[in-house]
Amino acid sequence: MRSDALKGHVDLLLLSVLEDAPAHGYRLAEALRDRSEATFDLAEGTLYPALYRLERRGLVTSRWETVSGRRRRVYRLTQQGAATLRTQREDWRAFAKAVEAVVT
Amino acid sequence: MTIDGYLAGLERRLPRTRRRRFLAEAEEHLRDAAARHAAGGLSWQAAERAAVRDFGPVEVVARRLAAEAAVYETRGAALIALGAAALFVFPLYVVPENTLPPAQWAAKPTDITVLQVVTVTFWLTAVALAATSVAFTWTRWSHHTAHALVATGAGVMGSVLISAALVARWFTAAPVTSSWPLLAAPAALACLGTCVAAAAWARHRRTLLVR
Repeated sequence: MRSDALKGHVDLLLLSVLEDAPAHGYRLAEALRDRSEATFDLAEGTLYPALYRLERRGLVTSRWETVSGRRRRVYRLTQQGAATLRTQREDWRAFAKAVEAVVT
Repeated sequence: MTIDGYLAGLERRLPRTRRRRFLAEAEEHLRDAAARHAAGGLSWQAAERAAVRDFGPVEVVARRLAAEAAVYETRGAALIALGAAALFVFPLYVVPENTLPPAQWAAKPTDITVLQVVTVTFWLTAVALAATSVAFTWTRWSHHTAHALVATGAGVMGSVLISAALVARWFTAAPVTSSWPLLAAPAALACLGTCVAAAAWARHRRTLLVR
């Protein structure tokens, strides 16, 4: 799937992955690849500006931590991020249901 | 392209804001990705090339990061504009009675009262616009920060002009002592804040407006 098809949905995807557990950037990219079964053709480097945007809006926080002996920037969902995720998830389900009803 | 070569290319193109943090995160990411590819059977050189390919073209990644950095930088400019505007409201809110020469008139001329009201209204509007600029940077509508900064700059400059008119009229009506430092200092800071906001807008307008 082309990356421009994902435009507007990256925030929802990242928040969804972070809902399970805090993660660093590479772990997030891995989770997106694994959970989508490598469907998304997303430049992994563009995840970071998206994460910075979420952080600026107070939806995630981050800090340097040592993970497996290496220094990593680990991202966590905030309460506000969890609330936004719930709203975006409901919106997405309503949207997907409507599209499905039309195209099938 | 090797990871080191890719990171060097990124460093040349990245804005200063968040550059070090992003480069550190990018390096960790690329080395993890290369290790995964190498574990899958690629030579280390091929694994590095694959990691770099997955990370995305330098230009694309740098452009996205520049857009995000621009929001941070304009937030700083908007905060300065807000501080400058708020600073000027303080002396003018209690003003001019407390900062201008003691008035000798029995009853204040009507036009001065009108100018006072207009001046305070202008400055409060400038503060509200600056606050709106700052608030935009915390929302998904951050690309509107550039527009709000333009309005803030116009509001502050308009406020400076109407304030100057008030001060001139007051000194004409009550030409006794002066309190120039009290008026000039916040005015200079307000102008400085406006210039900083204008510079940030000029520097980032394209980045912010094309998002």
